[in-house]
Amino acid sequence: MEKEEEKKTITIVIAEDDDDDYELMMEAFKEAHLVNKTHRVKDGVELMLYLHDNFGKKQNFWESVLILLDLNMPRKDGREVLKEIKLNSDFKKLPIIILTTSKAEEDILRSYNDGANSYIRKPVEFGELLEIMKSLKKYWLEIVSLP
Amino acid sequence: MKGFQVFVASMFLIALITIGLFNVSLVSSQRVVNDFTIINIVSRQKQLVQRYAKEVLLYINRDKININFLSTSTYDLNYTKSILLESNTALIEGKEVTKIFEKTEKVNLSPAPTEEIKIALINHKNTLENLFEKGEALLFLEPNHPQYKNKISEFLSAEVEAYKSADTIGSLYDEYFTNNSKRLLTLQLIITILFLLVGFFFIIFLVTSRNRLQSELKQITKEIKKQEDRFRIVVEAAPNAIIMVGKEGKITLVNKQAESLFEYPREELIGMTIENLIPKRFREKHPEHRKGFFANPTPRAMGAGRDLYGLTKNGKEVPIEIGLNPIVTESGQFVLASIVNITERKRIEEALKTTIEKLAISNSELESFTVIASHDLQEPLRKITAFGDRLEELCANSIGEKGIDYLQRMKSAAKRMRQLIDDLLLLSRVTTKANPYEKVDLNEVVKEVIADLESRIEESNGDINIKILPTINADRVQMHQLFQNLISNALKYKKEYSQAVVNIDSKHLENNSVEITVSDNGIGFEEQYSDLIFKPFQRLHTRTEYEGSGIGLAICKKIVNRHKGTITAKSALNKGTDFTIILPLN
Repeated sequence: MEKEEEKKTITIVIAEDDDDDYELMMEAFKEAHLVNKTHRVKDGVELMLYLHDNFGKKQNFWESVLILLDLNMPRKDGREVLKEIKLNSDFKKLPIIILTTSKAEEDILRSYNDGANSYIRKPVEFGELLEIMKSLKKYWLEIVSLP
Repeated sequence: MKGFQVFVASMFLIALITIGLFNVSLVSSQRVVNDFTIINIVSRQKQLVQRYAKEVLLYINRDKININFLSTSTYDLNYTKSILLESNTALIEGKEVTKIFEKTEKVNLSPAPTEEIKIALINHKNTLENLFEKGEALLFLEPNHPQYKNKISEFLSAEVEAYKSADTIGSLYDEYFTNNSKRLLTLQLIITILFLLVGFFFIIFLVTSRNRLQSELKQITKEIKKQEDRFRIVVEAAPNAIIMVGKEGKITLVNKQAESLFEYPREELIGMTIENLIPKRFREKHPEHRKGFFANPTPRAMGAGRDLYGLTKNGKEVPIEIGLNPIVTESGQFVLASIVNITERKRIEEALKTTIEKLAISNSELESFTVIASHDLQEPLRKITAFGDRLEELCANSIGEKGIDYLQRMKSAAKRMRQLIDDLLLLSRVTTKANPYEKVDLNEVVKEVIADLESRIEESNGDINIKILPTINADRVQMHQLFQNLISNALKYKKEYSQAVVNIDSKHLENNSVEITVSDNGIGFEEQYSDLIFKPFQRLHTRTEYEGSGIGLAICKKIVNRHKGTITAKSALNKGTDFTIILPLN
């Protein structure tokens, strides 16, 4: 149970530049009964700032963060920031789930190659999004043992 | 040739002149000889007479003793002596005779001539002496022989009279010798005529053969000149500038085009070194290239792959292309350079290159536009659908049944648009996401397609017959896509309440390509639409009749075209459709 508690303290960091998508995601979270804290950043630069700011504030920082990363973002896009995180010895253990509209094979291959933990395509219908969020919650926050 | 002829002719002339001169000298010397002979004959006559006189003497004696003696041709002294001795009638004195008689001194000549005869003889002595020149012989006759007394004196006087006239004798012998020399002359004449005839024919032969040779030579010279003229005309008429250069790089021939290309007048070009027509930066190496060419003179393009320039009189550089051809003439090895001014071509090439570059840029822009647009267009559509879902779910009560209906139509339109964008993306991917060519066994490909379409084939009770298909060099994924589109098309447009039958066959064509036919027994279409069906988003039916965006055949065409092939459709309403694909094997 202690572990359960710990998992509820995991902060879900959402890197999403699009307000509509963020709104839909939050609605899906709510309907999926996710109680975790969320934090939104609008691009790669903000994401890196957040990580650097919070690193050290918490012990075992990498145990407390799950990143949902959009690939197409302004300033520093998801592809770049993914590489940066996975090459950084402090952050490389952070689980990163790519959530994007891109269907390109190239993006999928490159993301896994650069160390993404999962690759999910943004669904068209809300019902599908809800299902994804439910699965996400079950898999990443209940089933999987994180470092 | 000519020297030899002159030599032969002059030799012949000399020979002829010699023959002529010889003949003239022969004839004139004959005359001389004749004159001489006449004189000679006279003296010879005298000798003969001398001898004859003895004979006469003998004759006289013989007349007395033996008449047969005359027939003896040999002057037999002993015999004569014996006769003399026998006859004892005559005594011969004189050097020669004396000698003879020295041995016969014993012979007693008697009786001595009578005084009368002696006187007669002495009277004749001078005559005889004159005749015998030195009077070497003296004649004594028997004085007591009255029988011959008169005869002797008659004979002697007659003989002496006869021989006194040298002219008579001379003419006599002259006649003889003239006859002889006439014969000689005739012979000479015949020989000369023969000589002349032979010479004449020889000279005729020489002259005719010389004439023939000369006319042949003339003909050949004419021919050569004709060919030279022709060569000149060809060179002049050639569309290219032509320059003939010798081993040392000297220009020996140019045409008008060369004059206008290099802006030099002909007189200046001839004799000029070819290096003068080459820009300074290439000039240094050129003699080496030239030597290289003459070392191995074969027709070839000059400076293959390099940009060549010519230098005009005004110092302008002209881009050119040069073909080199070795030519062997009497005066040695030359190279005939054919030069094309490629300024215009270069300009066109440049323009073409620029256009192609522009086109490539615009093409890639278009491709990336398609990809980006497809992706970026999807975003708002996804939101329309997602918020539509939220609206339908959360606000169903407030918007009412009518509102829900509109909402659903909206969502369905968004879905269709999404499909269109996806199809567009798929079409553009035929070129943007192309895979490299590999050996593809189309039998395998079609089997895979049938496996993929299994459920649909079952649904439509389809019957797909495949004959042996070839293995070709192609993009495997796209071949799969091609056959999948064609077969699913055949299944989709089948006649209602009947089995869909699809026949796939192939045959090799002559030009190393293959013809594949995909025939169905479906609803077909009117002939006029056989081109339209291959255009993107063109449909012959409403969506309610048949689903789809009309991209399938457009993709098929794009795939086949990318493989440098063709696809055509032949059909009639309710008569099924035959798709014919021609693809190169490699």
